[in-house]
Amino acid sequence: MRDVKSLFHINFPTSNWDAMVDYYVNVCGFDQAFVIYTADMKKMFGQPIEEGDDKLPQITYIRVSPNSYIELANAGKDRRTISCDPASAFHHFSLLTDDLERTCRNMAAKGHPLFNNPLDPTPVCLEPFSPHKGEDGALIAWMQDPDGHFIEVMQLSGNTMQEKFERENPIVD
Amino acid sequence: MREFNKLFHLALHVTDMEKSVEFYEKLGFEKVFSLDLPDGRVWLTYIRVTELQYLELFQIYPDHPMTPRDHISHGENDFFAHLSVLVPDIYETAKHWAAKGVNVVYAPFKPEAIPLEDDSVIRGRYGADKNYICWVVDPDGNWIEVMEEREDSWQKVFEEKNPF
Repeated sequence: MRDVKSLFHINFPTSNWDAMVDYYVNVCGFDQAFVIYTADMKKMFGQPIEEGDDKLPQITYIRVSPNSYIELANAGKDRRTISCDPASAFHHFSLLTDDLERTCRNMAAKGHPLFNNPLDPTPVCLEPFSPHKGEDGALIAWMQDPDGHFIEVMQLSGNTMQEKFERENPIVD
Repeated sequence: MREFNKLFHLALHVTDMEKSVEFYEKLGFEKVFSLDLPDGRVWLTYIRVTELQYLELFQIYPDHPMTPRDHISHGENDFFAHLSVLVPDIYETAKHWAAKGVNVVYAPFKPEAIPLEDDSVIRGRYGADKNYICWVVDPDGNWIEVMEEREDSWQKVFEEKNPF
């Protein structure tokens, strides 16, 4: 039996709480699952709760798909949280879409045009739609959240290297 | 209709591809494929966490323009803290991984090995969102939070009330 059943979350500390929540919930359309407030954290650690602690967010979980979340941690000005090593090895993360053209058009209409790659911020050409095709066979475009994290948006073809691997190596429990 | 329907992969920089692949294989993940740079050195490796969810490891070469991290890290806040994996039985997982030489610890701020004689230590405590938690760390210092949902887990309760 496989130990891990899901890449459960990716945690980003942020100093731009409102902008980051707005981006992931309103721009990207993900569901905000819950907020953990300072009072909840203090209760867990047995610390005295002060006025306002019930309104000061510490953590929010934002659902991308079942059992996969983006977790934002309200890091304050120095951007440090309890589990954060600033010497991060983070490169980017990736989201799947069924229809990259639709996504590029919808995101552009919201004022967030997708671009060709992190080194080339030119918006993806929509007329005609001509996205980059990756070496793995996926159609690819990029976006960036308010803190600067790059997000690779991918549309699978049925024949990408990842899908071939999944067909040849199904997960059996 | 949802714009995005899956968290597909998380990409990390690694300093030693072989060491990193070996570590993630100990966690039970499979190497999917590697892509090479034009000069033949390994560029990236896909590691499967579960179906259609991957880690994408990029080898750092200080002399290569595609891979040093400052070429892709444009935002001043663009670091992340950790990633997390969900497991059905945290005690069994901790034992499997410890038997392979993986250090299973309380937390990044308390990096001491958890005694695994029975499950009372690992399940004797839980997070604010009601999940059992332990941590492991990869060779580059990336922390991985291992979580098992309790019945009252906030995520579990949310999923039950808000089916996808």
